[in-house]
Amino acid sequence: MKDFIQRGLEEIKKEKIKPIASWKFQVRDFFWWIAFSFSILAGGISISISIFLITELDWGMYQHLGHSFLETFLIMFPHFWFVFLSIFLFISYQNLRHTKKGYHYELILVTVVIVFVSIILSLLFSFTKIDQKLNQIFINKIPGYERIIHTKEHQWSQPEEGLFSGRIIKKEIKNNTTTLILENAKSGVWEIFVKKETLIRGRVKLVEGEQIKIIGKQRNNQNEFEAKEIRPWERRGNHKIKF
Amino acid sequence: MELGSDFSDKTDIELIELAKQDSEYFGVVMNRYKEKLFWYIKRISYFSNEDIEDILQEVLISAYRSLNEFDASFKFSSWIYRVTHNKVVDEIRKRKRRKEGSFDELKENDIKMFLSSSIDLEQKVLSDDCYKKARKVIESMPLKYREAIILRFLEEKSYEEIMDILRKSKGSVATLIARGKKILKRELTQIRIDCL
Repeated sequence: MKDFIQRGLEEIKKEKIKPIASWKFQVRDFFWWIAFSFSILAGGISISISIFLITELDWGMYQHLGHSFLETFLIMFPHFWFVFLSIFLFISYQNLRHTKKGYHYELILVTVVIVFVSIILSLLFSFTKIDQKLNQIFINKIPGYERIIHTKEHQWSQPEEGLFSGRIIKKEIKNNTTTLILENAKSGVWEIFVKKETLIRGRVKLVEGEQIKIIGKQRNNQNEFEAKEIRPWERRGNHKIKF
Repeated sequence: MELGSDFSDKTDIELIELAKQDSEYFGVVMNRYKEKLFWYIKRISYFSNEDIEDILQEVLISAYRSLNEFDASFKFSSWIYRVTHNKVVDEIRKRKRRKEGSFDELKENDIKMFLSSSIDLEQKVLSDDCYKKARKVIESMPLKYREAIILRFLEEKSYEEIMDILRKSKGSVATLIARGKKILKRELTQIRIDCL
């Protein structure tokens, strides 16, 4: 009886089996490295957008409204991007494991390196404001994206909670009361009542076209809002990106 | 060229290079590993001798096809063990799905070597009943732990070689071996094998 080597060699000859060309294996390895690089890039994007969303929000506001730190954290934490980051961390580790010697590296070391590289990339994205651009592109192009992230616009579009914002389209002064006609991106046109005792923060000019944030109270469940404090939309050092 | 010809002066790597032009040289390399691979499959799968021969034939053809994937910075033995591991795992999966196959039992000497990995056996002679119980415990262990212990203590592979065969990091290999030993010890204690 023939042993498996003889039988195997006979089949190789009969079927004219040849070794697969080396370039095919090189292309495969190259693919894994490319996939790994893309996963790290996606990790960098998710970290930078998370940081952008977190730093855009006014963290003091929810505590001001009586929420605990934990509640505040759960409301404002960018869950979507955290899940996205975790998925891409996992994918990048798997991609690395498929490279020639990638499996030699320990999971913890790989995770630390991937997170570190992603953070460096995220700083680069943040510095070049690519994070803001991408976030805006996602808002415009991906249906439902805006609903799953908690943006500054969300935070300041809650008149029932006393937080509101918008762009001034008209300013009227009657009987010592200033009324601002404000356009909010989510709920349309509103009347904002500014009294003498309303605190107006430094850089706010209350001019047409200016975007502002308002702390106050909604009146009669109508599109009317009483301002206690008015703040500039952009925090000091933040400059709006134009798209 | 005859398989029986003496190529002892040639290394595996040199023969692999020659095999890329003439498959007969690959037969020479496989001849060097056929027994080791046979026992490796037997130990991790308990397949019958005929089934193992068939798997080895598939390993030979598959490895020959992927010859250009082999990187000379690795040991050829680790690479061929890896190809074999993949084929055996595939076959075990297929059989599980079809719920079929003939299996052989683990040999007494293998059981003793396996047990020595976790328990101090010294020079004890184990009774037949003891072998039976121990065999049951070893065979019921999850493949990933059993295979790691087999590679380390029965095949006497280094950690680096096991890493390349299982494509796992050193930490993962160490964990598999340690957990495997722990499971073995726990199971043996639970069924009270007093013969140890």
